Amino acid sequence: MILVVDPHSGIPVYRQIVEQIRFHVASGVLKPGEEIPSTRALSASLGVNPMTISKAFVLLEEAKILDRRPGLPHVVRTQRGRKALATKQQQLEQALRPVVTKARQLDLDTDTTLQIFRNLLEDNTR
Amino acid sequence: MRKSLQAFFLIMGRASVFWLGALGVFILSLLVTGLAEPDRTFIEHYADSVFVAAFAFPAGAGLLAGAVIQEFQHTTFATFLPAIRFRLATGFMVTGLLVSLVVVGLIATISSTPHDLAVLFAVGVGAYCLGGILIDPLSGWMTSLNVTLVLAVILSSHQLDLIAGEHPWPTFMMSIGVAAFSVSRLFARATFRRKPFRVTAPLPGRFSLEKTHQYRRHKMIQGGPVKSGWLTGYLGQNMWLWTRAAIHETYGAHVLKTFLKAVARAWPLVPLFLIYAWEDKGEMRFSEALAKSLNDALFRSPFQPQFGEHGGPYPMVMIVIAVAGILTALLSPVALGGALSYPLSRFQRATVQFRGGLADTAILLLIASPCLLAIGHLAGWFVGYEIRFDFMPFFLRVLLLTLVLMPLGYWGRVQLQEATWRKTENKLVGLILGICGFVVLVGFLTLVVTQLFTSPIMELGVLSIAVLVSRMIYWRSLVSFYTTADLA
Amino acid sequence: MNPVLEANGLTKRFDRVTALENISFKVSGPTIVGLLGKNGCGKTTLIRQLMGLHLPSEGSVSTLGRPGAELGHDELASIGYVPQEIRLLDWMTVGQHIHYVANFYPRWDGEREQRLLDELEIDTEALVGTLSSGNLQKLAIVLAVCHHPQLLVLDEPVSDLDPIVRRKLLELLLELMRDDAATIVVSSHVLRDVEKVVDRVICLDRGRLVTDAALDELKELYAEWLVVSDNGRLPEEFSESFLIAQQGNGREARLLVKDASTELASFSSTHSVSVSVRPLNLEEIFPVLIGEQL
Repeated sequence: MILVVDPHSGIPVYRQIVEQIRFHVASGVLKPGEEIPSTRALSASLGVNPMTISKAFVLLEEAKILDRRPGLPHVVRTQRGRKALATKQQQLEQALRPVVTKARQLDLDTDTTLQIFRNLLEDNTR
Repeated sequence: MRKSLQAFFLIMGRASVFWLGALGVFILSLLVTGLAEPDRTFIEHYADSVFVAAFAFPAGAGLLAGAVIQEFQHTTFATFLPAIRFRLATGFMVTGLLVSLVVVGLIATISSTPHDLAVLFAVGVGAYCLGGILIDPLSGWMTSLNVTLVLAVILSSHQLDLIAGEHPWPTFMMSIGVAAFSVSRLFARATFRRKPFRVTAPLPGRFSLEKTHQYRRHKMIQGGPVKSGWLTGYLGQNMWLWTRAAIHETYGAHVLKTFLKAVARAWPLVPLFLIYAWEDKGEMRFSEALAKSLNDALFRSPFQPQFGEHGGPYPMVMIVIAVAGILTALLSPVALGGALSYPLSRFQRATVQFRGGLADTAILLLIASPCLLAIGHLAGWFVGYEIRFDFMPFFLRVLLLTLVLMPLGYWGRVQLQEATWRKTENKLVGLILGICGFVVLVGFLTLVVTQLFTSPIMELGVLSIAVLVSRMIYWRSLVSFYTTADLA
Repeated sequence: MNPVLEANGLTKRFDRVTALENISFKVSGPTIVGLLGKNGCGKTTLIRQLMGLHLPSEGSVSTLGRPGAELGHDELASIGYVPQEIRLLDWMTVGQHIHYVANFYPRWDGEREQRLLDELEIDTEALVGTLSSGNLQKLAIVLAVCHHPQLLVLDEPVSDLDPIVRRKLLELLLELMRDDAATIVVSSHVLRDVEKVVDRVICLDRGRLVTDAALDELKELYAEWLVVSDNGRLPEEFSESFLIAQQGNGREARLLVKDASTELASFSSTHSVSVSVRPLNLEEIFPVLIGEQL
C-alpha cells in the first residue's frame, strides 16, 4: 500500500488518507484481514502529525472499513459483496463529479457526454 | 554541591577572567602598597591600608565574578536552566568566602592588625557581594549609588577603620547585611527574568570589535530616535559630510546626551569628594595620598638630575599620553562599511577612514591633553603644590611622538575592523601587547629624541615634519589596503 | 488532566502600547500548535509570557500548571525553548556549551544529542561565537530538546535554516510528539512548514486572538468556489451570508466562502450556476484569518 499525502493541498490530510485507504480497499490492493501500519509508523513515514493519522483511523472504523484491535495494528475488515460494490461505485462517482461540471460548462448534452465516456472505456479495453 | 560549583566555575574558567583578575590584583596592589611611587610607598604615610585591602581585594573579585554572572544572565537560555539560581549563588558564595579568607589570612601574616579577624573577614564577604552588583544588573542609577558607596568606603577608610575597631559586632552585622542584600539582588528571580532584555556589556575578555559594536549599537538604540538636521538630504561627494556620517554611525547621535547622563549619574561623587578633600587635608589619608601620587607621577620626574636642563623622563606622562593616543586610535570611527551598504567607492572609504582619524587626533590634541594637564594640576593644588611648567617640553615631546606613531593604531584598527578574519580572532592578548608595545616605543623614542636634539626649535620642526610624514605613509597604505583587500 | 498551557484574559501593555489584549486559550498535549500572525502581532510577546520572561499586565497565564512567574525546577526541567534571537556563551566551544547545559537536566539524553549533532552536521569543536546564524539556531534546538521536554516552544525556528535542515527539524518535532508525548508550540510565518506538522492553529492579529482551531477544521471551513453561470449571466453581487469575498465579471465569479459546504446545492439551484469547489491551503487561508482576504 502506498499512500501519498500533500500537506499543502487544501484537502485535510486525514481526508486524503481516508480516501486513499478506501480506494485501496475497494480496488483490492488491501485485502480483508490485512494489517495497516500503526499510527506511529505512518506518522513517521508520511511525516504528518500522529493526531491526523488517528483521526483518519477513527473515521475508517466508523465507516466499517478498518477494525480496531486493542494493542495491535488495525486490520482491513471483510467487506460483504453488496457493500463492496457500493463502495466501488461511490469511488467512481466521486471521481466523475468534476467531469460533470466540466461537461456542463462546455454545454455538452448528456448523450454526447455519455458517448465520450463510452468511447474512452472501450478505447482502454482494446 | 559538586554540580553547583561546576556550574559556576565552568563559566568563570576562561582566559579573560584570569587576565582581568591578574590585572585587578596588580592595580589594587599598587594602590594599597604604593608601588606607584618608587622611592616612597603609600603604606608609609597611609596607615589605613589594612582596612582598604580587606575591602578592596574581595570587592574586585566580586566585581569580576558579578560581571561574568551578569553576562551569563544576559544569554537567552540562562533563565530556563533548572536550579540555575541556586547553583550559581552557591559557587559565587563559596568563592567569596575563600577569597575573603585568603585576604584575611594574608593580612594576618603580613601586618599586625589590631582588628578582630572575623570582622575583617565579614567586611571582605560584604565587599565581595557588593562588588557583584557594583554594576547593578537592572538599574544604572543603582550602579552609580553602589560606586558612590564603594568610593565612600575607600575614602573614609580611616574613619571606618576606627569604627570597626570600636564596634566590631555592628560592623560584622552590617557587612553581612550588605552581603545578603547584594546576593539576593544578583540572584533574584526577577533579575534572571529581566536580564536577557537589558543591554549588558560583554566581558572584554575575548575582545571582539564585533561584540563591542553590537553593545554600542544597543546602547544607541536606547537613546531613541533623534533629529539630525545635517543628515536630511543627499550627502553628495563631500567626504567631510561622509566622515561626519561615519562618526554618527559609530557613536550615534547621543554622544553628548550619554555623556551628560553619565555626569548626572555621577553627581553624588562631587559633594563626596569635596567633603573628603577638606576633611582629609593635611592628614595624608587616602584621597590626599592619591592626589599627591597623581601629581608626583605626572609632573615630577624622579630622573631629573640625570637629564639636566631638558627635564628628565616623566614615566607617567609617557604612559598616559601614549595610552590615550593608542586608545583614541583604536576607538576611532570605522564605519560606512559592514551591515549597511553606502554608495561609496573603495577609494572614498579610505578617504572617510583617514579623515575620521584626523578628527579624533584633534580630540586628543585639543581636549584630552589639556584635560590631563588640568586634572594633574588640580590634584597638585589640592595637595598644596605650586603649579609648575618645567615638564612642558617633555610633555609636548611625548605628545608629538604619540602623534607620529598613532597611525600604527589606526592601521591596526582598520585591520581588525575591515579584514575578513576579524570575527574569529581573539584579540585581547594582541591588544594588550599592542598597547604595551606602543607605550614602550613612545617611551624609547622620547629618550632618544631627548638626547638627540639641542635646539628646541629644531626639535619641534623635525617632530612636526615626522607627524606629517607618518600621516602621508598612513594615507598611502590606507589607499592601497582599501583598493586591494577583501573587505568584510 | 491539567492543560499544558493556559491563558485567561491575558493582557500585556508596554507603556502606551498594548501588545496583547484579552487572550484566552487552553492547550492540552500532546499536540503541535502553530502560532501565526504578521510581524509585530504579538507572537513573541505571547511566547515570552508563556515562558515567564514577561509578566501579564492583566489576566493570567500558566505553563505546566504554574504561573509563568513561578516556574520552578520541575517545570523548567520539562521545558525546552528556542528563542528568536539566540544569545549563547560565545567563548565556549559547541561541545563545552552542550556539556554545560546538559549538567542542569536530570533526563539529558546523550544518545539523542549525538544523533542530532550528526544529523544536523554541527561541529562540536567550533567556538559558539563563530557560528553562522543558521548553525546557532541548530545548536539552540539541540540544547532545547535533549532533556525530553514535555513542552517545547520555538519562536521562528526555521528562519535561518536551509530546506534540508528545515525538513529534519519538522521530522524531529513529530518524533518528540510521538515519543515524548510532548506539546509543541511553533511560531512562524513560513506557513508551508507549519502546515506540514501542526494540528492546531492559533492566530494573532494586532495583539488579539483571532483564530484558535484545528488545522483540518480550518481547511474544511474555508473554500473557494469557482462559479460559472448555466445561462450566461451572473448577478452583479451575491449576498449570501457565508460569503467572505467575491470577484466576478458577469459570466464567472470567484467566491471565498466560510462554512458553506451544506449550502452548495441550494446555491447552485437558486442562481442556476455550476460551482467547482477548490479547497484552500494554509497560505491561502491565513490572510482571511487576519482579515486581509484576496
